[in-house]
Amino acid sequence: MTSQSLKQRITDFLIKYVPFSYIKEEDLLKLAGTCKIKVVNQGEFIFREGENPPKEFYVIHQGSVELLDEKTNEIIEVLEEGDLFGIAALLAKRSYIFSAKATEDTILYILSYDIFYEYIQKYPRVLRFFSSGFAPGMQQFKKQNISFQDQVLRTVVAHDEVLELRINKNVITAKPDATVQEIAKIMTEKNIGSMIIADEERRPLGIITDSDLRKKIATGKFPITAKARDIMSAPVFTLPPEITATEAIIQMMKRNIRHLVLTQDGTNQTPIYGIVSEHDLLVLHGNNPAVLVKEVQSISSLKTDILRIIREKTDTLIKSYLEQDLSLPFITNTITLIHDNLIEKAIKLAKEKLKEEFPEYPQPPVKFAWLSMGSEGRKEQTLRTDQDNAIIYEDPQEEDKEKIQKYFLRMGELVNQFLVDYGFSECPANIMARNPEWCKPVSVWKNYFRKWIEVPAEKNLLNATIFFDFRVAYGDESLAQELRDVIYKYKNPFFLVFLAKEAATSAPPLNFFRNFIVEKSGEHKNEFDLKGRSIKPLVDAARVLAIDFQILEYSSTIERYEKLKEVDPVNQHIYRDAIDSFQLYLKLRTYFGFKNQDSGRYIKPEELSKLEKQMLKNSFLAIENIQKLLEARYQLNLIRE
Amino acid sequence: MAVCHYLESIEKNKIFTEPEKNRYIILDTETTGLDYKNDQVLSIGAIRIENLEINISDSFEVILQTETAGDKESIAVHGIRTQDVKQGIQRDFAFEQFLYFLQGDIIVGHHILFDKLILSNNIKKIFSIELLNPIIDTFDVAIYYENLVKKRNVIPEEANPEEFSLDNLLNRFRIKSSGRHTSIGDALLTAELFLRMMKKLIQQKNFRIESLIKY
Repeated sequence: MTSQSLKQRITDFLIKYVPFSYIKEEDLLKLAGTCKIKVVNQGEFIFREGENPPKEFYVIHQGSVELLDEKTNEIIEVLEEGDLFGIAALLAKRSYIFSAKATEDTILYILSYDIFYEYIQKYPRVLRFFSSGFAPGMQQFKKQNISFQDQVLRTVVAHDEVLELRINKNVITAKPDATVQEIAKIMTEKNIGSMIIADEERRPLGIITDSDLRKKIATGKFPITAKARDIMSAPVFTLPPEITATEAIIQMMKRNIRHLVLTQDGTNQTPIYGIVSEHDLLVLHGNNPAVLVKEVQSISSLKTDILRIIREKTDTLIKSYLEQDLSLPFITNTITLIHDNLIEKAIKLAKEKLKEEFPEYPQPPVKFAWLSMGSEGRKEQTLRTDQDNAIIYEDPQEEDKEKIQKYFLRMGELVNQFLVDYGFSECPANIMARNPEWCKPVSVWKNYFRKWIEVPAEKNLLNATIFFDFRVAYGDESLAQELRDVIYKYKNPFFLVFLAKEAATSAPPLNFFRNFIVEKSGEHKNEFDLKGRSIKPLVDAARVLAIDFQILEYSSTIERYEKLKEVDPVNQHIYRDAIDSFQLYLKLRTYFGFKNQDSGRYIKPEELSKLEKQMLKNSFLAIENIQKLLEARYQLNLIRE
Repeated sequence: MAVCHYLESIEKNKIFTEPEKNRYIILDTETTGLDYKNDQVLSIGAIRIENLEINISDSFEVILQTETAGDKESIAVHGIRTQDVKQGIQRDFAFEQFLYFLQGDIIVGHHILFDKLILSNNIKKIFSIELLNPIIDTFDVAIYYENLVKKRNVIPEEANPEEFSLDNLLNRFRIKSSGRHTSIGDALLTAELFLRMMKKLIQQKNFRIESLIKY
């Protein structure tokens, strides 16, 4: 017997939390009906690493639990009320890889995996919750000591656990002597795009797809009475069921096939285990950064079309991240990771070409670095923007100077072109590595930097704001450090003051009546300049302070404010508010950029919801405060034009 | 049938000294009043604990058919209206089902003696048997806990009833008490409280479950 109101009570609790909130109430009630409740004392283990999981998983009703790696004694994650855990092992059909321990007296709900498993299959959003790697214990993003790329690649592990869910095990097969007509009929009835031809023991012999029917039958090449064996594609490419989702995607891309047939031992000599379709995998994995990065890394030739598709998938990924309301640093780091991998790929491809064009240099003749500038340099790209890049290389011997400059210019030209092919448009101001002015040895770059600092004329200040936000996207980091040292060493007090003045006097966002100041004329009349009036003042202020406090190696605006909180604790609340506001602006910009298919720079105030308007208005106080801080610190009131 | 089944399981039941081996029924009732001889049970909420785990699928909830839900004060307390009890389950059928569910398990609840007595009296009118289950009062458990775990010296008869009220205990053990005052809701909260205290008591060397059991 089961009390209805108890089921309702468990359901009311679960429905407040992701991913249960994606499940219909009637289904949750069924799950709640299986619920067991258990109390664990502080310090008590719920399960240990290496144990085999029962067909149950846990949700914290009250209290907290930590997942820990007992070998390294490292806490992987601390879980709170409403978090679910102990399910990754079940999905992956393995033992627990972490231990779970209560950090306070805790009440746990124990739920049936079998019923929940049905819902993972039934509800795509629940599936995505697990495949995107945000379920507890399936991700390691909270670890600070490993690189972001490693973190993302590690999610492949978690993410591959769900391939099993995507294998269709009810494979419809036909005998080789079935007629094409019969096969076409079954395919229409069952609404499937392909049919496996198998022998008596269900070993795959061949495959017939929609396109076979189109190409071979509709064209009259074969009669409709032809036998399956006459028109099937054979042999079938087969893999074992243990392959990972990432491998499956890569194999499909490599072989340009849309279905993978899995057999019991991976050869076509054993019975069919199941079939995976590209569509199902892409629904699940197309949006996974790990897969995108792996794809970029696995492409060996000049397949720019595939790389362009990957860049397009990145857009889809970002949109879904925005919908899931993930943190902005996470979103921008993901984009940077994919972009940097694309840049790396472009440089590697360019190197191959350069080998042919400069036979005397099978390798780059001196150390070099590919620099990303501007928003890409600050790791703040969300939408596609122009390329801003440059090359810096080690000073060559006098006699090789010309030749080496030629080599790197050519590299710039090639990489810039590849990037255009991938979908990154050219910089209208030609701040690109192919421009001889921005493809220089270290000594020249140092002189540039020195000059911009020593003579803070308008153009030099502008260059400083663009180029001082540089970051090594590929290549030798030590060259970049030499440049940073120049910025730190040449301390012209006026330089900082001028830079601060630029940052502190930029256009205010609100007028006297606390209304948004909109453009008065031009293409964007009556629109609010989100970039100019909100994002830029915060970026500029962070840069000035980062130079002043010598923390320029923290390249993003958020990282800079985070670091400023540490080095200038007196003003930490100002920096904290700046971080919050900045995240809001960049999210809004990205959101409206996608929505209106533009750069997101201008928004119409009437497009904002009441709440967004209010949040924006409140956030402008952060700009005001940071500008006041600059005014006080650099005594800007003493400077008059 | 139900009576035979019940008496058989009472006969077979034995109490283990290891608390996790016993089965417990956490129980709460709402009644027309506080006179266990003459008042009537309006609703029963009960959940079984096995292996020291609450199992939602093994729970029991019923509103019984009654002429009246009691006087205004009682209705204000339990929130069951006369129209609700008029549509309730027929009393003989409801108690029959209850006996099937209950079996010989240990009945646990807050001030459980009253619930046992009123249930027993109500059942006696229909089936001519009394409830014979052993009981554990969470009020006693809380005092026992205080003495054994907190090393205080509280005598049950002299304990401050306010200090050991269900609300106060739930508060102290940080059990969120939404949905108080339906019998099944209170039974669930009492079950969580009971498990919390038991989990701590088990760790104590001198803990004897027998000393909490009454008949």
